[in-house]
Amino acid sequence: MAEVYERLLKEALTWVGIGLGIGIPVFIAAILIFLKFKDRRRFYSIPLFLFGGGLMAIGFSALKDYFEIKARMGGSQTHSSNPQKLPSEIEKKISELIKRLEELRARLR
Amino acid sequence: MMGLGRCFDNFRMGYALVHYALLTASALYPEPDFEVALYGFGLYTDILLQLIDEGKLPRGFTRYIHDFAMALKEMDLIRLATIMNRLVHDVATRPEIPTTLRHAVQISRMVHEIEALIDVDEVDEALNRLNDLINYISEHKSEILKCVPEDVIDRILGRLKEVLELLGKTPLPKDEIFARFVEIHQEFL
Repeated sequence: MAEVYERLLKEALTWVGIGLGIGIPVFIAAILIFLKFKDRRRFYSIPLFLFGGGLMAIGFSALKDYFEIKARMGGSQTHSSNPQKLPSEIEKKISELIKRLEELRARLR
Repeated sequence: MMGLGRCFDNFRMGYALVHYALLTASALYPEPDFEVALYGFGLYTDILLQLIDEGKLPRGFTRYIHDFAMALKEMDLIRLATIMNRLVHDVATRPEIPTTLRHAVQISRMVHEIEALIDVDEVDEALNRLNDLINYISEHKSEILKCVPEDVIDRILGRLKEVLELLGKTPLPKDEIFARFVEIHQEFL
């Protein structure tokens, strides 16, 4: 699963790069064209707005995915895969859950 | 009134539906294994179609076969997971779907989620999900017991207790933990 996350993370980063790397300059260019020209050339900015905006939308969506994947991976990093000793709160949680499970089993019998 | 045997069969189908959908998805990564993926997809489709034929699921659920097949063709793990979540959500929220199926799908989803979290060493989060699972079984125990034999529930809770005990060990004995999950799945498959 860790490899899956890494692969997904790389894919997301690629799309962030493509989306925002190209989208933002194109969008800025569209704004500049729109502001600079007052005649019919101003309409040239429309396809640039659409293209740049679309790429930016892809980039931001990939950025969102990136942070979601990162958050899930982060969770796994906070608990090392082979810790020497379990954190006491986890130990406490485990014993509480065992107790609750036993109670539930007793109620179901 | 439906007998416990038939009702338990429905529960098992609900559990297996999620199980095989996840088996299909997990077969794609890290290295795609199409034989396993197609095996999982075939069983997922069979179960879904049978549930639709028997009127347990609405006809519209056939779209989950089509969407799943498309995502599988493109090997899109995220889309497969999204479809799975939508299916589970749909089963859980539609009042016309039998309660048995709803519980089966929810329990299956939670058990598999716990297993996947342990796989990526997210022990703390896995414990939270285990807590949710215990709460869920406690809250719906009377309805679950109408369909699932007591001894099966008892064995599953016993296996979960063993999983909890193993989670307290360092280093994490994942093979032993996953062996317990295999036993849990086998109770329903």
